[in-house]
Amino acid sequence: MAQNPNEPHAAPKNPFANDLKAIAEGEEMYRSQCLPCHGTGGGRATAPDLSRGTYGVGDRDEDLYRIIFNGGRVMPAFGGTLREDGVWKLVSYVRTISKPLVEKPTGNAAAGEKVFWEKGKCGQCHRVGFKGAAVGPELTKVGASRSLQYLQTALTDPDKDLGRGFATITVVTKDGKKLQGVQRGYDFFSAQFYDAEGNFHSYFKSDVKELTRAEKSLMPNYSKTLSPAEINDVVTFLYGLGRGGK
Amino acid sequence: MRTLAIVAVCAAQALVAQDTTWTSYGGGHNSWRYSEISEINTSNVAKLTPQWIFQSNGGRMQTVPLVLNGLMYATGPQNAAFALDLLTGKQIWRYEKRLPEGTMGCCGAPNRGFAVSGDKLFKVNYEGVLVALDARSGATLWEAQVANHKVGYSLTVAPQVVKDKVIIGNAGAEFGTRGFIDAYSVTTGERLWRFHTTAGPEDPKGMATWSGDSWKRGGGSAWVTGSYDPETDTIFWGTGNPGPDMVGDVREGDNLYTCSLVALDPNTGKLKWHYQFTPHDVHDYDATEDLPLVDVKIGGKTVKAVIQANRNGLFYALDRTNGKLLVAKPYTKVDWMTGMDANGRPIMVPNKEPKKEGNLACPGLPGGHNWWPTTFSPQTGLYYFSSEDGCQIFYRHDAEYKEGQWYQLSNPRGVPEEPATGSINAVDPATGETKWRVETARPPSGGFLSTGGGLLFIGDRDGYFIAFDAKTGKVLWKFQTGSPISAGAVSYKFRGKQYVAVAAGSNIMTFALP
Repeated sequence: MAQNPNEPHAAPKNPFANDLKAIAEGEEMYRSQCLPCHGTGGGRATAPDLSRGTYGVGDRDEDLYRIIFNGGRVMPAFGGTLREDGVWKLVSYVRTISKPLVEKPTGNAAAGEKVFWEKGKCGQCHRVGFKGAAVGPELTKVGASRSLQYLQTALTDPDKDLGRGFATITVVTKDGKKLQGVQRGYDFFSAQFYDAEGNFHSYFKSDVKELTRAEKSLMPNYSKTLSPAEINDVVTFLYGLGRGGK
Repeated sequence: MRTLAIVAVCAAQALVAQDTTWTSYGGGHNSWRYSEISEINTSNVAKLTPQWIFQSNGGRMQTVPLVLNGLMYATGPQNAAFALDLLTGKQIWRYEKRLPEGTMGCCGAPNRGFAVSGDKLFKVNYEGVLVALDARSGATLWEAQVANHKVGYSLTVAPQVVKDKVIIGNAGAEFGTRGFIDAYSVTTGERLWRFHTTAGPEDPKGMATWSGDSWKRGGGSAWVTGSYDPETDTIFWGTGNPGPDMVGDVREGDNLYTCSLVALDPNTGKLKWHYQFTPHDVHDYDATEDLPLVDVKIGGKTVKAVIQANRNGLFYALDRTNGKLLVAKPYTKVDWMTGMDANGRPIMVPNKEPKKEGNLACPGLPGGHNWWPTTFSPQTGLYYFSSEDGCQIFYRHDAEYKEGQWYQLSNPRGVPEEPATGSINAVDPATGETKWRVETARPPSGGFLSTGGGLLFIGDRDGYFIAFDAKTGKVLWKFQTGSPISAGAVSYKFRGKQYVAVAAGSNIMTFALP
């Protein structure tokens, strides 16, 4: 019977860890299957940067195996095509492209955390652990997949690398009411979004006066409201998330 | 009593006689994907209702279901296939063959459906095998070894039955394979001929369009079903990108017969004529899209044409008796060519190839219009297809050819801040003029079918199955199926009632009036 790639698949130890031939085969698979979304390093909003040596799904070979085999929320499952051995070989290759982490944040994480929740009101849209709202991207493990530079830019130029699905939806209802929020869905007929208060909205285009979508972030540019030192503290706080920091 | 019984039998036969079939990928040899049934039409389609859903619990389907004998025959990815009861959608039999270890390939292991001849169904298995199944039981009647998956070949195409032959083409041009179109005996599975889509020693003139021995790894896979014209006894088939994909340094020349339409003699596999849409392609502009056979009026004269919305961004009409170019007109943004010369060859814009630092080209890698099923309606005289409208930046990376390994040397990405959009296009085949165009949030990808009820059905990536007024492009009905639609839709009459069926995700859904 054909393997059902959607079935969760338990994984034992990597039989191809540090196997040079397997790594070469894994590289070929990476080029065809992974590169289109994950790129060659540097990180894009569409898929996590795999060159950082630490991963949102966990840092063990088994964690990487599981996400590749079964797929994730956005990522497709590759178990059906690559099979057990193929996935392990790919894991072995992915290990070789990760660089040791050399970045050292220079701010004060505790001060940054305070700014994040209080002055910056970041929790109005972002979630860290069990705190905050889920309007914008979840940041619980953001440090595991993003560089210091990336986080810095995200605070001071939020439109630069707008994550897929976080565009701005604007609706004008038939009675003239204007609503705006962060995209949760957008198709030929309808749009779904959360407003700044965290209220969910969904409309068919045919039922409203106007429905538009802009590739812009609703997030403010924090260089206007926070000092460089405060931004550095927030970056330091975020960088520690999901990597043994808080 | 006896009289009554006879009357009842006659009534039952009359009902059956009204029923219609759908017996090929393109809805007939002409690839129109058009059903003349008009019970569901512009005035009542708003009431269209789901009848049953078959959940295959497998991967995403690209299958065009065949309908005959009270059954629906559909294939899934990963070498699966099903026969379903037309009344209830219940599975009557299931075929499955495990992929061999280490099977690789581009884009999952999709399959686009069956072909049928008498009681035999034909499908390809991904690893390079053509199988004939007994339509009643799903039992294997014969298997033909077509190609070796270990060197990078794969099969995804819905076969085409032409007389006593099963015609198929290969996939796997991204692996430095050499493409082909094959004919097999319907009865025995014996291979009767093979046409190589990259010209070799058997065709010195064609071979001269390849530097060195690059034709050996020259790609040109033929992964979408072609058309057949019984009148001229000709098969029309499109071919894909040359290999290595998107970098042309090691394959100087035009690279015949990649990114081309080849017109073949079905009896011998000999080339009658060809037309190359994109000479020396470096953007993966496959010419594998549908090839409907349409007669068009040009200058007061009827010309037998074959048409295509090519992935390179242009709509084409060719004289199907000799391959002469009749129409070539962009339907989306095109920046790789500026026009046609007197011989019908595109005038190429220089320096458009992928570069280390990136190089913009429009359309991007997905097209334009890609392989997604299209439809021609003789009622409106319009050709309907979807398009991805935008550009991409092509980044080059280098690698040597290694047998069985990925040989695609560019990694295109979208243009930041300018995401590609999509559109549904209704084009006049005689002129290439767009009669109406509807812009969509994302490119629609499948479900295309036109009917005698004045309707155009399409499916999109967000899971909507939509009915348009084929004349105007006005939305008349929609249904959210819950999964992206990439397959073509079909229509048929069963027990006197019209149905529309389409594969959405891993499910097949049917619709009818209440």
